[in-house]
Amino acid sequence: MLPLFLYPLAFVGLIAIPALVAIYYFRNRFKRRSVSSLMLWRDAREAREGGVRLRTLQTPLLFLLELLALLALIFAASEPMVRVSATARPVVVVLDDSFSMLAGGDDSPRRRAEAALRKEFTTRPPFSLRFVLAGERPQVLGDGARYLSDAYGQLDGWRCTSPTARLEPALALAGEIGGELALLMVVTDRAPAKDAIPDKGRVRWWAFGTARGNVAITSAARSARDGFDRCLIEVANLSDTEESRTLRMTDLQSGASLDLLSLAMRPKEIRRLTMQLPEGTGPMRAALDADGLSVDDAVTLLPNFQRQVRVQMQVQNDRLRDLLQRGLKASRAAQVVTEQPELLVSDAVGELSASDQVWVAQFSSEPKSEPIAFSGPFVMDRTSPLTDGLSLRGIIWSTCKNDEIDGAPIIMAGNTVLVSDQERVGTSGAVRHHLRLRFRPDVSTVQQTPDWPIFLANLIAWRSTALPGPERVNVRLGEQVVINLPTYRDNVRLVSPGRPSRSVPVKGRVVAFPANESGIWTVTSEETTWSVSVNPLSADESDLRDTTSGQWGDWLDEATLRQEYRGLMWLLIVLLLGLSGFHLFLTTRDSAPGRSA
Amino acid sequence: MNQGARTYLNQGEQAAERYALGTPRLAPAGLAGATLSQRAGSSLEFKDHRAYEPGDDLRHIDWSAFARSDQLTVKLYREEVTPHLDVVIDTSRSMNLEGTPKADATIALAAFFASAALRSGYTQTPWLLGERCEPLPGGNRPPSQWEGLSFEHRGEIATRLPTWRARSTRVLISDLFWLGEPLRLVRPFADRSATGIVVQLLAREDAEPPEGQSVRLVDSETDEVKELHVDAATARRYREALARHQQHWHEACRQVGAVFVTLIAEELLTHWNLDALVMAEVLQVR
Repeated sequence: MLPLFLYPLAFVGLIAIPALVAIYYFRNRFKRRSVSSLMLWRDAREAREGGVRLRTLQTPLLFLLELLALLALIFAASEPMVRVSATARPVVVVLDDSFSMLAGGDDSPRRRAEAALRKEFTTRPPFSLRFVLAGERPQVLGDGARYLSDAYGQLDGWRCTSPTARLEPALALAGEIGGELALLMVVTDRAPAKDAIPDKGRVRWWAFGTARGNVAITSAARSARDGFDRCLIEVANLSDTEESRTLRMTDLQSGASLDLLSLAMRPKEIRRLTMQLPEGTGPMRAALDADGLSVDDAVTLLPNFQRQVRVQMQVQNDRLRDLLQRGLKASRAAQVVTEQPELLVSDAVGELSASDQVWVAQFSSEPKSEPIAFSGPFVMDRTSPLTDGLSLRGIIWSTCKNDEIDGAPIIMAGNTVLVSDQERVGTSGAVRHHLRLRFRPDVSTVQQTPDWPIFLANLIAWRSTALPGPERVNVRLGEQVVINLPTYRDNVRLVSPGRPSRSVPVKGRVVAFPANESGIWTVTSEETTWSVSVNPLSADESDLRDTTSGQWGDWLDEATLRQEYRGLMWLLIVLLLGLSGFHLFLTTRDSAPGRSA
Repeated sequence: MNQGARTYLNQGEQAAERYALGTPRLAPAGLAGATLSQRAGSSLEFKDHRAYEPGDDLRHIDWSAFARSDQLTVKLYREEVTPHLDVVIDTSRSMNLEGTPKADATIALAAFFASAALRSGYTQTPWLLGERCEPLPGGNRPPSQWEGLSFEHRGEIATRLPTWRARSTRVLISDLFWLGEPLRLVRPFADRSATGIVVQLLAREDAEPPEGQSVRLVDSETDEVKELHVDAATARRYREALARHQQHWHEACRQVGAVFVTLIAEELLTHWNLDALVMAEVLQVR
């Protein structure tokens, strides 16, 4: 193992060596000299010990001693350090878990990185080795491995399925779990930010990427509105050359081809394709011709459905009923029904009875009582879904003067509560909301502003989120999948791509999990099975033009020097003293020969 | 012989003007000569009396003096000798070491001995020691007229020496840089000589190797190469090896009654400091 020199500038002193050689050369070069006879020059010892060895060494021993002393002095001045232990500090490796690490197939950055890691740690085994996956969120990969074989086994969990690699949080987590002494290594396919990695420190940054062009599906959606099933496919040519691809769209249920498009794309072109799907189309797949990074060449889109909130109107005030009906219709997500409602809207006075599944919006709008009007300022609880997008500027909100409502205030005018929410737990354990609203439409202007449909849309959307089923059936890789269950359960069965079925816990009636694998996920409870399609859609990750290879930084901070390196200066000084003493002995002795030949 | 070499022959001759070759410790054999020996000899010129020593010729006992004093006394007569000098010059390539005045000093020293001998009434013969030991052609002429003195010999030095005149004075000039038992050469060299003188002539580099350098040493005779860094310890080991080598030669010379002297070429040509030879009674200062 090569030593490390703390003061490499000391090697400037090497210029003294040619000077020494020159001195000895000019002083000791052989001069031709005739002698009467060589008989007296023959050393008796030479004859006994064999003259070949003695004759071959023509350089004076003193020169060798001085040369060695000079080298020892220069090396001592450079303060060499050698690594005496390869196991002094733990190592935490941050693994880029984004799917761009799979580009290139067998020569992917991930494979090259794993080979490099194995080589590195086989050569210099650390005290312990841990891995942190850098995806959407940092994730520790397995436990700390004391033996390399265990550590290498953990690398099987490095699957590179994330839509992005947030390396900074992962690096912070690595530093946290490794402790102060841990050495950190980042393995990725991109270069670090400029000057982010110091040349010497506790962080090494290895990149194994190869810049290349790529054509990818960077966005895909499927919607069902107004009775039409449409899909949007966005294809990006993330290269600097013109590329041609074929986009095939297939109905996975029937196997029928839905469309076949030839795409001739200019450099850096992004093309958005919309298509209206035939009625009854099941899950569909859109796929490009395979290229270096195949994971972003295909998407699967499940048929979307619009969840309608069943709303029952029990409103006596004609004006208010008319406003509510128009507002609910504008939301397009409500269905006015007369039975089995999911949301009951009423202006009845007093306590309303409803089942556990029914939310209540109760208006207090007695027209005979004395009104009181507010023009602001209004205070809103912005954490409530009801206030999302509301402004209430320039409006007049009127209510009855002596009304008092219970519940947590959501909208207030001064100290007067206008809208409140009360959570109620039903007998089955279900949580439902009881909203109370003080509102007199005859002397208010709220309904004449966009705040009115926004408020009602928020109300319907809030209720909709609590309806059974997934919030969205097509999600991007890395997003959170949320599925509301119709009944309360402790857990459900979850099947994710490439993994066996497993049980996941349910919180309330909600199952939530991160979609960290692309493909079809299914959640099965006793009653129903819901499917969600997860697609790797990330233009940044698909863009491979700025991937690169290289190494930045070296593990050489103060702790490394202190714990893993030992100085050799003392040894060189001892050697120097020994050489000097021997030199002195040779130059001052009387009887011993001054040279070895 | 080139002009440079002749210059050193002349330089050797000039240096010899201040010295005379010492009388041989052993009387030279052969015909009676004109030179008087230090020993009691057989000439007719009475010199002195002295007490009898075993081995003295009984014919020289002064019986008259014995009758007077009951002491055996011998008459000393000045001995007439005919001395001869053999100057043996090592002609190995190592004597002409590149970048040193070793060859010049060798030439000058040989001329010095020859000239000093001639001035002292000696006859002289210069010899070239190489693969064989042969007289220098024309060597009976004065040194300044010598020809054919070169240092090109590679390889072993001849140990079979010619039969030199008995009781002659012999001088060997060499760096002695070869392996082997010195007695193999010194014994025949000094055999039946009056005085044997072995002069090891070295360049300063031979005696004091340079320190603090990386050198590619090339053997001047074999061209063998050796690269090494010469630091203090290496130089010290070299000096120790040289001292051991010289000690071996010194011991060998002592065994055969010869004189061993080491001279440095650079110092010789600069100062002609021959005190070592004077002290060994090889030379006498005029």
